[in-house]
Amino acid sequence: MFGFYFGKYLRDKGLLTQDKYDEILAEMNTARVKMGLMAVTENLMTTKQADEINRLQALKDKRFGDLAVEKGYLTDEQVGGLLKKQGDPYLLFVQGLTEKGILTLDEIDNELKLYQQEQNFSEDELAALKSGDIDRIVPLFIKAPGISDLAKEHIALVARNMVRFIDNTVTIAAAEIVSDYEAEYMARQDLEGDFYLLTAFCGDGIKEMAVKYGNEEFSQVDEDALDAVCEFLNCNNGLFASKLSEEDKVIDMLPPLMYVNPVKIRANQIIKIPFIVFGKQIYLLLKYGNDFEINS
Amino acid sequence: MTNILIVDDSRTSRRHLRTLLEEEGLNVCGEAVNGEEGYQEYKKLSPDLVTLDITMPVLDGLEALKKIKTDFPNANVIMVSAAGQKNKLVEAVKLGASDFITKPFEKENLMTTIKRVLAI
Repeated sequence: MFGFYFGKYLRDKGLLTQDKYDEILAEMNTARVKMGLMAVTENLMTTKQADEINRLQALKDKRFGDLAVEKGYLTDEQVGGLLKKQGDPYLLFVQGLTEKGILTLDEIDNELKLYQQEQNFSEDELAALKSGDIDRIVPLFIKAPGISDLAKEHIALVARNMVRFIDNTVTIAAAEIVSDYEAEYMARQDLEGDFYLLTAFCGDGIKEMAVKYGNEEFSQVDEDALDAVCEFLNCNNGLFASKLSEEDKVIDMLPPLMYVNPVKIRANQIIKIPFIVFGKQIYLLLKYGNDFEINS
Repeated sequence: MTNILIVDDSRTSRRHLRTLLEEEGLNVCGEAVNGEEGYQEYKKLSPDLVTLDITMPVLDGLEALKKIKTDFPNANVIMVSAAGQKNKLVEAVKLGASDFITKPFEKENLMTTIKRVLAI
């Protein structure tokens, strides 16, 4: 995960080519085996147990290791051991840069300091980014005032599902509060109950997201493609509603809405969160309360 | 052959479900995109089993379930939901639903549920 952010910075500065970046990521992916697979090959879990945890991940917004411990298939120590074996994503990326002769360790250190300044990251925040832990990374990008803790939880949940279901190289950028947004097309689902919440995906990467989640080729963004994106939205919102029900909050999901033509939303506080998916921009929009106008 | 009717407003969901069912040799005899259409198709096709999505426009899954079970008390109905719709699933079971499956679909779980409901 660190490599996606620092790699983009280095590419933008012309210090790393796309080809070399792709090579490093491919090598990192080979080195970084999925925890379930490692647990099975190390005889810590059976394939059936690993499959069960994979299924549970679709229903519960939890990590593989946490669920495996909850089910009693792994101990905390075993999860720790597997994480160590997976390797440190920061070190793997740095290793890739140096082994390919792209940058020396001193140059990396220097660029990292410049990147830290540019992003205004504290030492702790940089450490969070280096950890590769999405739960530590997402908060770095949702610091804009006016984003509630509940919205932060929702954004983190979507980010985790983006990694799980759409693109494991997804990156998030700084969330902002806007009062209007015009999209070429939009997949939307509202939730109502103890509070009202509009959720939507838009942006150039909608087609890629639809292809991946729908497991189907789409030549353009039409109702079928948006339907697939709505299903992904529905999956996220279901997990969010599930989390809320554990806190005795009641919220129902409304049928999804698709906009194949330009659509404009106006409201006081729209939270706009940019993601890069397969190299293209996706925006997650969240609007708490039903005081919005939407025209298409 | 086991005939199944799929009722879901999402084309993506219908497509995924149809693929999984047909891979297992089950016959999808019809599809409907909302609860009202699902009820009408049920009357027309008399399937062995119907899958009913909970969140649908026009007539949602629970309302469609009520109509189907009123006219066809022996209907085998499996509710389809996203995570987080536990309250509605509890209501559905009270209304006579046989079981439920959760999106995204997972073949093993889907087939276990169908076999249990149809006792096959």
